[in-house]
Amino acid sequence: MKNSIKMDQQDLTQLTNKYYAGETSLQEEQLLSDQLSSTETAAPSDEATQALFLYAQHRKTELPPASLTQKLEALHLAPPNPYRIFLRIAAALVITTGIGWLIFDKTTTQERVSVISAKEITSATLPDGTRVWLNTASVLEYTEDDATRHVLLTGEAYFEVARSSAHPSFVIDTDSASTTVTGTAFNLRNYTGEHQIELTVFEGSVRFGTKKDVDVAAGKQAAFNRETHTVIVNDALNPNATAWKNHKLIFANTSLSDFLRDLERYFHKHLQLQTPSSGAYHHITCEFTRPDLEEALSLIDNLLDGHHRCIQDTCYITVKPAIP
Amino acid sequence: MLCLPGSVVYTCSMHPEEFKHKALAWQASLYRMALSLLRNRQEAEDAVQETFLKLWKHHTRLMAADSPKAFALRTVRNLCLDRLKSRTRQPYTNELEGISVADPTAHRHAEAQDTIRNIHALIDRLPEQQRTVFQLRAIEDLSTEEIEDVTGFTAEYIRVILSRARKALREMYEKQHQNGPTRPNPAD
Repeated sequence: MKNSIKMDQQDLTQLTNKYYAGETSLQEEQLLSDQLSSTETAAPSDEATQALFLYAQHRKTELPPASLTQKLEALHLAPPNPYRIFLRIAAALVITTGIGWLIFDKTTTQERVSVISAKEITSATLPDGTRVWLNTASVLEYTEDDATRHVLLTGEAYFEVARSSAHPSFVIDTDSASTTVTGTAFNLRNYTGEHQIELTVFEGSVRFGTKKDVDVAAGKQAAFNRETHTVIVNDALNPNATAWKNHKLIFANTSLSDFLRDLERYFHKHLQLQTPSSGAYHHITCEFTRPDLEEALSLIDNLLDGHHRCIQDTCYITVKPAIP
Repeated sequence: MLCLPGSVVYTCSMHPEEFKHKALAWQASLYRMALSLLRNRQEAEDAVQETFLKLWKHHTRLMAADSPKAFALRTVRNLCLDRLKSRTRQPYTNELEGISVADPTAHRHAEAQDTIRNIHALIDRLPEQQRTVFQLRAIEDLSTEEIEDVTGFTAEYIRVILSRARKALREMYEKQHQNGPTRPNPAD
């Protein structure tokens, strides 16, 4: 809908500047588009912006090729298993350890499918008795076939896998790597946007990788690189691998850069060290129970004569530089 | 068990035709994303078909997603990025040529058509992340949260990328027009 009220040039300039800073809302962009398209002769400074909106309007009206529509309409999609029924369970009714919501099957048919989608940290018991804790922004899907239990995971989860004689094998598929286990406890981190998939094994043994699988024993960590498709095993266990679940961060002579990395992961924020040389130089020993970001960053400020500033999802941290 | 009294039915398995009806509404968006990444019409069509099959396989997750359209766009983007990894870059052809428009009288002026082609060529010069985020916002009208879902980027990073893309396009456009308007060269 066209906006009939004409903005004055000063407001228009202000809105345009906001647009180029990437800070306009969808509604403000619509307003700007309407304003510029109702101008017959745009100011020279507005011509480029006008062109961008003209282009967007044009492309929104594009139709896909008829050949594509025909192919999609003709696609054969196998009918789903008629027994799959999903229930949404209101969060307030089930949550014992977190907020969020669950979808769970109620059938007892041979093929059981469960989907859990967590906005907040959530725990659940899968149909085979496996206990799972899901970190924020994670989705898990569980199915069983003849001998194998399959889990599809995006995001991060901690598993305590139950032994099952009916379905002895337990396989977790991510978009890149597979994890096969037989009764064990481990943490798997697979957020899209991160360059690696990380596995931390607490009990038992886990087979991890794509073509070349690697056995990862208890007390070890492994990282699968999405680019090179290689697995690197690390003998040292990061005590903060399950901090998201235990709400405890432990640092023992940890370098500042590793300290900030673990905080970043816990709080889902970007922490940018403005004095890069100090990242490997300073080392920190401390513990946080139910950590608080402001408290942790203030501690760094006090310890290392620094200061920090947070803007939306990013905090900029400055500390005293390394002594050469 | 977790099925407690008071549970409400969230989603049942869908009939294939019901799924198709829902998913066909996204075909133009999926095709645009595929074409922008692959720059080849045939390959883009193949990628959209593959996306449909994948979405059908995971349709319960699709329907449980906060934004099913963002879920679908993320799927097509990931499939296209995988395809790009397994091939060398195709020579660019101006794929805007021949795209049909719902209302052919909307931008009938030759000047407007020139501007549209020109901007299309400029967008094609942007790095992939900028191109993708710009298009998701400008053409698909996605919210920042939905763009986060599609790309996995944070809100702050999206703001930065969007700002860079818009400024780069303005700069390139103005640079061209300082020397007088030029028609884009399809061989760019």
